[in-house]
Amino acid sequence: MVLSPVFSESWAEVYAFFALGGFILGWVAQRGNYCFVNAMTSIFTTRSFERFGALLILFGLSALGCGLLVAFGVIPAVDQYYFNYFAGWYILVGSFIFGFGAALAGGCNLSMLYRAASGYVQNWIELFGMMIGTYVFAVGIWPFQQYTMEKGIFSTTMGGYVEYLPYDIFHSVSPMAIYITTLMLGLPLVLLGIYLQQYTKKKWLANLRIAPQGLPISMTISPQGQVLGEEKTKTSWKKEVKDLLLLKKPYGTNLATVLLALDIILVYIAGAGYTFNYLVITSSDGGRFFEYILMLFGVNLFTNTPWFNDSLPIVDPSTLMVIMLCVGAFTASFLSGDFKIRIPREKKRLLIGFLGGMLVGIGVRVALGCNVGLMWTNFAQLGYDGIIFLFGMLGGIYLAVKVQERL
Amino acid sequence: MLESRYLRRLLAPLILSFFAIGWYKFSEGTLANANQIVLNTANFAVYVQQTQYDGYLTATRYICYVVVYVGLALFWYNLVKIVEAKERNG
Repeated sequence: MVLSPVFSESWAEVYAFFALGGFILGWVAQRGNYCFVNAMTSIFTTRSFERFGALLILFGLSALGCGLLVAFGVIPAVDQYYFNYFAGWYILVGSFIFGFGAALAGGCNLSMLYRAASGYVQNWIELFGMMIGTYVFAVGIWPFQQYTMEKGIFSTTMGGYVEYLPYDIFHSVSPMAIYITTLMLGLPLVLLGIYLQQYTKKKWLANLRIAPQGLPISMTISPQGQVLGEEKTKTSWKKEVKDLLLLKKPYGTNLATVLLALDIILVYIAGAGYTFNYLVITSSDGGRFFEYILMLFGVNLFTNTPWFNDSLPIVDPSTLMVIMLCVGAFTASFLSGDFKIRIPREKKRLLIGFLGGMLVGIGVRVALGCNVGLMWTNFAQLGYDGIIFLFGMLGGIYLAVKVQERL
Repeated sequence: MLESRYLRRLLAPLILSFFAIGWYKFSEGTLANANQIVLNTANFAVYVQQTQYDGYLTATRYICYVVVYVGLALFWYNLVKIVEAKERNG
């Protein structure tokens, strides 16, 4: 089967759209301080579901946006399932290793890149560790994993529509099947996310009431006070927008969530018929940049090294996307005055960052993708690999939190 | 002697511009050469078709122009601001 492009852009335009998508991704993630690992870690450390709720909203909005585009015939269904990966033991194991390593290193694939571009040295070390981890995976694990995938040992052997939820539930890829599946997957995620955020806010408010007294009640209930309050809200809302545009204030979690969901939909539309599953892959490029560095010294991994010689094209749209992600994050941090070379005071953080980065590199390759390229993207693809990844990652992060408590 | 925050404001846009130029040159030279080696060894899993590769180079070139212009604009803007501040403060 050959994918036919929905819009007849040239390759240069496809790359440009992916570059723009990467720039937006880096910019928004930097301004919103968006990190999948922090969102999950806060569940186990501070019992806060605010950022995790935002993640679920992100997955739900992405599924709704991309699913409805397919259900209403704007984009053919084949674009949504064509590049779906095989599912198997490796997604659960890989996501667990990834979650553990990322929590130790202090950043998921997305936050590692935008923080590295904002001057965090620990994330530079994590990125380097990830490159080494990818190489370790390529020579030590990939041949075995490939064997299990080919033989179907705890693995599906087809990918594609077999992993497509509308097909799995209704044995059909008709618009109605896709429409119902989109709503079944997307709406509960959004509602659950909102509920978790409200739950956390209520808990915070309850804690505030227990805290020492604030303003007298009389100041908040007088009618004049209410009118004044409304005017103040209007002015503060305008000021808020101005501050956001002038980069004086970071983006709120939910604003960043909506912008990121719009970003994935933009790239989905631009990449339809070309490379949907290359959407926002940030993990392959850990290996790719290692390969690029070695190329400068005359070493070509693509000639004889497993995985590098059968799974990694020299370039694809994700290459420019990751480069522009870093450019976007750097620009946002520089213009907002956040950019600074930050070396951790405790030097052991660098070692932990490197080891964590290695585990991240191994984990994402074993799982066949990272929290962005596999988990987030797969929710938008109406697949189920993202759900497996989510639980594996939560497990890995939980273990890392427990280990760090004892260190 | 320039303070480190001034240096940061001046150097960062220049590094960004040089990075963009370096990336384009690397893509045009080293990566294109690697793609040719892949074609010669008939490894089509890794090979990127010429039309696609040309598209990548075209997009990279235009991005390079934009990033270099923005980087230089930021550099000059910051330089003027720093000189103004230095003059004001003696």
